[in-house]
Amino acid sequence: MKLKILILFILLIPMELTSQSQKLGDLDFLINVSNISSLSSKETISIFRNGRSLWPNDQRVTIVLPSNKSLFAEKVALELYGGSISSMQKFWLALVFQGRANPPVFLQTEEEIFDFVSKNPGSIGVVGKGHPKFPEKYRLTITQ
Amino acid sequence: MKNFFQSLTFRIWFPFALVISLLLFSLSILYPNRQEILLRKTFEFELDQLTKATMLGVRVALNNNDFNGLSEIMSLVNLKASGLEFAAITEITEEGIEKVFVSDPLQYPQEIILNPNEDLFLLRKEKISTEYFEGYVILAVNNASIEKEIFEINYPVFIFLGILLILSLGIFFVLANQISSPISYLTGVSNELKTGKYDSEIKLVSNISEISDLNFSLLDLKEELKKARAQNVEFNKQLEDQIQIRTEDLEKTTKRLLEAQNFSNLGDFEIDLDTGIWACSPIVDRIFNIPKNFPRKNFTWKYFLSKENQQIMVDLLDKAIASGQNFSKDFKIQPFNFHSSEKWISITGSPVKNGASETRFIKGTIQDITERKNIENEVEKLSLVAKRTSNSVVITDLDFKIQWVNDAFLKLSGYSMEELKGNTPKMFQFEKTDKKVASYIKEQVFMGKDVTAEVLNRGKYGNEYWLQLNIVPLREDSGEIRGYMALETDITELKIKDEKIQRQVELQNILIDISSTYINIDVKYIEITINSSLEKLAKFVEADRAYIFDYNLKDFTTSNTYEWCAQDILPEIENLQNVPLEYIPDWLEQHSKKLPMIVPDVLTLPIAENEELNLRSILEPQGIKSLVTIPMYEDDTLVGFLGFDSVQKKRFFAEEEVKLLTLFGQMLINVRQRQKFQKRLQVQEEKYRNIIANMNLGFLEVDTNDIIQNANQSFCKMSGFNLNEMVGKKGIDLFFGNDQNSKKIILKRNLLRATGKSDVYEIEVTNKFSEKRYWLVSGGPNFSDAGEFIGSIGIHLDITEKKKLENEQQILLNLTQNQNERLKNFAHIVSHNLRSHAANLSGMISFMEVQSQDFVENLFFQNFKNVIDNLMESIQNLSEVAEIQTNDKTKMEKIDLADILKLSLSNVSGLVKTSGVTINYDQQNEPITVLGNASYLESITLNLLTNAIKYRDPEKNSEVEIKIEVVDDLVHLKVIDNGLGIDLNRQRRKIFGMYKTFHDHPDARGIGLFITKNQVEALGGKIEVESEEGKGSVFTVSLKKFKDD
Repeated sequence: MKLKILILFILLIPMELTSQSQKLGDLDFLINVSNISSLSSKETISIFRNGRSLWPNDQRVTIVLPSNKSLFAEKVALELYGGSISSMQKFWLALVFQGRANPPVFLQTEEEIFDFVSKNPGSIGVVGKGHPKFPEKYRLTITQ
Repeated sequence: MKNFFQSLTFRIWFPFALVISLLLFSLSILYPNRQEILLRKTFEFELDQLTKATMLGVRVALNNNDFNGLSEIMSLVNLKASGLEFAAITEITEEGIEKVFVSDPLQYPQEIILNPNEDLFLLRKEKISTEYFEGYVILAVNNASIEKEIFEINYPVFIFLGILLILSLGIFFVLANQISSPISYLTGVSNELKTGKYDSEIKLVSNISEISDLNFSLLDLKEELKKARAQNVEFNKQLEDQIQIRTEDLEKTTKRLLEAQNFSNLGDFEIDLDTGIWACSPIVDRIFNIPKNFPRKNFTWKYFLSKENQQIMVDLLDKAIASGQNFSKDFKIQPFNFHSSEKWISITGSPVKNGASETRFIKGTIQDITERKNIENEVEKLSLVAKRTSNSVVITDLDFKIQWVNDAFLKLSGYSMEELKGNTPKMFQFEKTDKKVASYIKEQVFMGKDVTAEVLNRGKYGNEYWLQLNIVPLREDSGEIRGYMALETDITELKIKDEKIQRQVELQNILIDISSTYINIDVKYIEITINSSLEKLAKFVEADRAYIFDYNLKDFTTSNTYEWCAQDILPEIENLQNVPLEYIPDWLEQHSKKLPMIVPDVLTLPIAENEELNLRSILEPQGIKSLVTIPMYEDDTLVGFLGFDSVQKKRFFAEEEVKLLTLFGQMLINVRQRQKFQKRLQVQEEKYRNIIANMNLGFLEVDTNDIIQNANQSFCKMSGFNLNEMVGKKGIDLFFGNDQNSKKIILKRNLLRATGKSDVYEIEVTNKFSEKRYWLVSGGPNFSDAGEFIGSIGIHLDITEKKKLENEQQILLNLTQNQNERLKNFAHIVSHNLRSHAANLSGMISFMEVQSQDFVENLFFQNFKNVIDNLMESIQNLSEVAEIQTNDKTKMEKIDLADILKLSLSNVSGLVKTSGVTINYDQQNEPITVLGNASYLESITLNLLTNAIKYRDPEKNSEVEIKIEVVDDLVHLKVIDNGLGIDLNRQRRKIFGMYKTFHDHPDARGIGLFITKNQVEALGGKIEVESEEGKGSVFTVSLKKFKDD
């Protein structure tokens, strides 16, 4: 029985990853890092989950996330962190409390996020898909 | 100032250091506690603040999405930096269960976070309450970390305080030491003083006034104690001394008493006349050998006395009882047993009476006086010795007044006892007595010492005599001097002898002094020195004139050659030249016998008769009173005499003086001989110097390297070189050109000279003109004055001409030798041929006589026969001589001379019988071997024996004695006869000649001794003769002894 559960768990992991990469399609990412305009979904999720602290050009990674009052916060929480807004906050609470991560910047609106990213090199942000004012210049293309 | 600070040390620094030490000690205990409390509160407060800040940070992050604040806070809550044990957030689930949401460190055990031990940790917990989250923020700090932190904060303070504490304790210790050490020392000293050790030194150990005062107080105390003790000791000592003195006095008194009794052998006794009980002291027991436990009752003392002594005692006691008076008696007690000996006792007794005047006891003393009696006997004997001794004995009182002298003294001094008594010995002293010796004697005698001295005294009749005194003080038993005794020995003769010896020694010293002067004297000073020596000796013998005379026995005169005269004595040397010896015949006679002429008093000499001169008439006008003249001999020839005159007084010259003066005379002869030799030497030196300079022989002197030093004119002439050309050059280079052989000869000669040897050699040289010459050189080593070899001297003779002659001579010699040889042969032939012809003639004559009696009776024929016989004998002798002389190498062998003599004696035995001569010969048993030839020796012995018999004296009983003596390597054969003898004064040179006869003996031919001598010499021996006409002859043949080697 246990063996069956283990086999099932192993089979489910790629499925879960596939679902997450698929979900990233509801989100637009922007980045202000020279020479980086595209990243794989895996890399992107990893970066948003504190997987990297510096860019290749040694700029500090600054993650820009929607605050809990933001309308697309739930999507972001779901797609990048696989949970609710509170779980995303707890995720970062644990990391910051332990000092293991630079705290992300939580902003209320997409514009604030656009503005922040454009003004802060090294920052990477996420917004809901299809915002009209999305600065293409800073778009991060998510590859498979 | 320094003292001030030192004094402050104790008063201020010590409490200060003590307070500081205590303060620091307190601080080091109190400060950490306080500090911990404060720090802990600070920790708690900070943790509180941090916890609250964290809680707010979490709340803001969760509520406002602002995680920057939390991040800032958490950077503060850095675990390592802040020392937090852990930081955690717990979450309260919907079920109300608290779980750990997150913790830092990540893996920190959840159970500790949820249930921490508050003893181990300081905890702070703040609640979080947000819309999405309920839980707590928990911060914990480990108490050990807090304590560690507190310690890290505190430990510099602890170190600082510790250093301060150590310093203050150090200061405290030093100060304490400064106080405690002196106090300990002073306490120790105080304890020593307590035990009475006042002599130990107290040092000044501190300048701190209180201790210093204590120090000085102890010093004062010590001195006081010392004084007190010294006083005590002194007092005790005085006390002890007094006790000691008293005790000793007491003991001495007792001891003296006992000693006195013992010493004087004095004891006491007591006899109870009623009961017969008696008692006595131990000394009496000892005197009579009475046993200790002997019963002393019933007059038992009698057992210790002989009958005779008993009677004496009984008589004494009876007399005392009867008279009631004391008694005293000395008598000899007889031995009553084997253990006792004869003794003398002195007994005293006193009767003791009772109230009724009856004598009940006899008390008294008994003394053993044996020793005293013996001494008295000794004294008696000694006084007898003193009286009879040949030495003088004088006894004086303390003032040196004569009390007694013995007979010897009376005899020596000439005084009588009455004349001497009361006088002091000073009466014998006179002007010749040595005052120093007299005062020395007096001084020593006053000091009570024994004196030994020699003094010259004069007797009653002016006779002077030397005494050896031995003065001893006469002492009482107490040691007090009561007089003096002098034992005097007459040493007059000894003194005279001593003086003589002394005088001789002085004279000898003068002679030694003079002789040592003469040894090294330069000849030119001899005249002066002889005069000076004469003066010295004359002064010594107290002569007024000293002189030397030379005898001229040819002219029979004598002349004065040296003279010394004392002051005021006129010299006579001028008057005493060529004095005829006939005036002094006695003088000359004495000197001829090598005896001195001593005239003690000229006035005793005979007076000249008829105004003729004699010794007295010569001496008297010169004022001479005494004289001595000593002959001087030079090699047994009387050459003069040495004399000393005494003009001012008469003088006797002792025999020893004369001997020493004779020695001086001989010394003078030696010196004069030396003077003569020296002069002769100088003359000869001059002569030889002239000879060397002028002789025809060449003189050459070279040094050790053959370098020419000097040459005479003749050598220059011989060599052709002048002196300057030769000096400094080697002879070997000058005279031999390239002749290496000659050079070698010279070099060999130089080596020979270095060994000190001389020789003569011939050598061929080349002179300056390159002419070959022959020199005969006599060379010898040359030595310096110090005997050091300094080269060679050579005398050179040019023998070139002689060499030529020699060559010619050699030719002639060869010719002569040939002729000689021929002559020998001729002699041999002649002797042989003539002998055979003569033998034939002799034979024919004998034959003719046998044939006809007419020939026998024919006088002419008989004469002819005699001629023929003589011819025969002559030829025989000549033949023998020729044989001896030509036979150079006679065969020599070992011959026993005794055998030869035996044979010869046998041969002459007939002759001996007919002649009546007696031959005395002690025939030797042992062989006397000589080196010789048997036939020669037979001939020699036979010839000597027949001669001794032949030339006997018909007026005497002729005797011939034969002696053989062996001396060293020679055997002497002596033939001694008492025959006619030979006048050797006339015949000595002829005695061994050919055809020499010395007597008119019909058998004398004059050939025998000639042959004998030739034979002896051919054997390497010699023959000698001693003879006196009319007495006899001794012929001695000396032959070589045979040696086995």
